[in-house]
Amino acid sequence: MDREMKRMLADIKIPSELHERSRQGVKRAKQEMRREPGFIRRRLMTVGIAAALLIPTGAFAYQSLLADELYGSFDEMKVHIVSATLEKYLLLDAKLNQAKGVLGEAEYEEFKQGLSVFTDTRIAYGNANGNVDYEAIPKAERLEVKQALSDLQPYFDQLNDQPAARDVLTADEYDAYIEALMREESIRVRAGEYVEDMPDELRQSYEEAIAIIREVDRKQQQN
Amino acid sequence: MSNECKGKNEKGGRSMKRLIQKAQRGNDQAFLKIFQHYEADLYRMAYVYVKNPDDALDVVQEVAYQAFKKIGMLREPQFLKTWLMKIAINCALDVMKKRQNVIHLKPEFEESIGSTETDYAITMTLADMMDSLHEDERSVVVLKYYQDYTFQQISDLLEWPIGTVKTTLYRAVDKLRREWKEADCYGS
Repeated sequence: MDREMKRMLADIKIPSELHERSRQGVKRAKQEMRREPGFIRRRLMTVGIAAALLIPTGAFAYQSLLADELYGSFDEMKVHIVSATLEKYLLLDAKLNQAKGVLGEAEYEEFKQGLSVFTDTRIAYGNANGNVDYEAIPKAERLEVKQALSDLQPYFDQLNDQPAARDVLTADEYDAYIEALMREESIRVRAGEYVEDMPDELRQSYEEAIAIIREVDRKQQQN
Repeated sequence: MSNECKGKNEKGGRSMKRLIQKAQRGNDQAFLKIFQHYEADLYRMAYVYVKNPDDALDVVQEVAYQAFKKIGMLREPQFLKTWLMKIAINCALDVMKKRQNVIHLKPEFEESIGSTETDYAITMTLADMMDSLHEDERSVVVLKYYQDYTFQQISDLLEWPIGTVKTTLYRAVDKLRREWKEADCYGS
């Protein structure tokens, strides 16, 4: 029975276009995910706005991209951040343009202000991926960037068309959430991107941070 | 297992975990690498239900689509294959449901646009055997005898009590034995 069944199923011929069809499925999902808010927020906040920037070559160099206002010259950025792609840069630029439309001029200026505190820290202290170990930077700057993050999050939530985390959480919970976002990034800088390679004590702390972030996501979706 | 072999397996497991983590962060190339390992099995699984290459390919494409969208929610990477199988079964059942609502073409048209002759022969063998089974029975037979799942794993995957899995399998096996006996009589 066992053998017969295996033989019978193994006889089903695999069409040559199978992998192409898998690829098409993933392509469609990816296109939709780009339009879906949840993904954008996670990428902006944790993988790093700074990592998302960068490095247009000749053809784009003449264009005045909105993100230029934040980062100054690309040569400067290249020094700090090597894992950048043009695609991600343009995505950010689009996002900033969207921010301008959705938020209105005054709010957008505030948003950009907060964003530049956040990204300045990345330029100054970011690792090759643009991620920062917030425990390793001067206390005053840590405080400043934490404040910027706290102020930025409601804008991201608004852009993502989600209820603001600040509104669905108590003040203490919101503080813990911002700390969790910072801790998650700090640990990735210290212990690498892969959970299974992290030393036990960092892994535990990392998983706690992730649990807090997921819980907040869940609360936002419920509201 | 030799130490060398064990080492290779561990290494393979680690690199798979890394790929899954990358895929969970939205890396489509990492996801495709993982998916490639399973797509043939998923295709065959789908084929058992839908019984033609075109629909089975549609199912695999849909599984790739749904799985990439939801892989961020996969908490236990070691259950990746089971998770993909589950999506495949649901997609295949959806295709079948949709098909029930479609008016079928006349057989002569189907032949001209359908599969190649070899495919058709295989379909016949498999379809003959599987046609006598209910959808639920088909799932259990394939998972047990082709995917080598345990009763417990099948119970987890289909979200049925383990007793139901066992009785469904025994009933299916009994039906298949009778089919085979009849096929043998005709064949000899």
